[in-house]
Amino acid sequence: MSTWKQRRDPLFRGDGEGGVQLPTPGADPSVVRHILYLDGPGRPTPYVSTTESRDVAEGFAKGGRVYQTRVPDWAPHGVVHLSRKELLSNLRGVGKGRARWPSAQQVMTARRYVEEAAEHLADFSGVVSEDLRGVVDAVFPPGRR
Amino acid sequence: MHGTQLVSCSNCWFNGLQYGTVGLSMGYCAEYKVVLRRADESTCGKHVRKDLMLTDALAQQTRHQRHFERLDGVQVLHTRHPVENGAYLEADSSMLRRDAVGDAAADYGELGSKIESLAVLKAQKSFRGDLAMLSLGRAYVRRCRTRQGRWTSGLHMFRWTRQRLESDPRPELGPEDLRVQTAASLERQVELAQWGLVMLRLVFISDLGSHAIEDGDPVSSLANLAEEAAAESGALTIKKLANWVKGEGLKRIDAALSEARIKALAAELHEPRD
Repeated sequence: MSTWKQRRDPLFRGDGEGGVQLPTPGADPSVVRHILYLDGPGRPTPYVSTTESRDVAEGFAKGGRVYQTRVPDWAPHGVVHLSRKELLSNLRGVGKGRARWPSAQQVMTARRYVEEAAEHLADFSGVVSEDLRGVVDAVFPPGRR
Repeated sequence: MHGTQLVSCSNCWFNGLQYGTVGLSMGYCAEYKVVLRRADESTCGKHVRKDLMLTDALAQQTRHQRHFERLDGVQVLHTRHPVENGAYLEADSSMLRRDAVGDAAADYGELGSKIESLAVLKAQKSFRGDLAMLSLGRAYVRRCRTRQGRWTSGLHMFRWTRQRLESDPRPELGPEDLRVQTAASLERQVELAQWGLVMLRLVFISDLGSHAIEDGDPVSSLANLAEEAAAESGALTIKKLANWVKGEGLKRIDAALSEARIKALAAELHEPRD
């Protein structure tokens, strides 16, 4: 697999037919909590997970569809890119920055999941638009597969 | 990215046949005794995550039950509807029984005692056999505790797991053991799976340590063993974790529970009761 490049390569996300799930910009920004899916379905998170691999995204679509996005399109909407490289750099020991977490076992498990899925995060923490659906659809265009 | 899969049947300790990328294409729920045909897409209120240590797994179970209330059967993950057709479940386990680990898992609780089924899994000396033993073993000890049992209900599994940590520090797996391909290279996928199984062994021993806290037993010093391993072993490689187990982990295990005490406790367990 060639090295993923931000300017050249898209990211993918498997989600429902009706659009990518809405994040919650003001929610707990812990990266480990997000990656480990702690607190389960319906929990608020400021992140949307994506992957370098279309195959991985298809595996998660489960009856929905795969959305394609490009990182250079995110900044105008206030969406920040947390790359796989950055995530892996922070997911060590008890974590660093937003990946700091009380449990090293959970930090390492989150790291394993990031590696397996070639995961990147779209961070909506700084998004202030009242039209969140519009921002999400602009970042993950429903027409781009 | 793993998201909902982590709260699905594929990551539940009642399903010993799958864990992350490892396992058969179908799972088996030892609680409801059904074959799980789409384990990544089903769940229920009894779900307990096997990728978390005991305290966190039980805390997450409580939250999970707020969303998935059903305690008498499997639900579809995305709709919460009860599973009512064969697309998700199969009562007939004959297909599963063509696989040695699947056969043993399907026998769990059916023949003799559950500990006998766990012993059969242990005797297979395979990656998936160990996975099933550890996964179902966690559920077994927890169930015993809720029925006023002591941590020693996991004594034999403790001994087997300690032996495996020493004799099989880098468990081997083959192509037949992988149920999905990941974005990582195959070599790295295998290494991450190995790390996951060794960590699961440490989590199992940590579980016993947690159970021993209430009993006031010195084994309680092992309650954070998996946490210590993750914090002290450094990079996420099987070599680093195996080195930590060899250099530190086994010493801490033996300091908390010697072979002599294991034998004494085992003799106690087998004493006839009034």
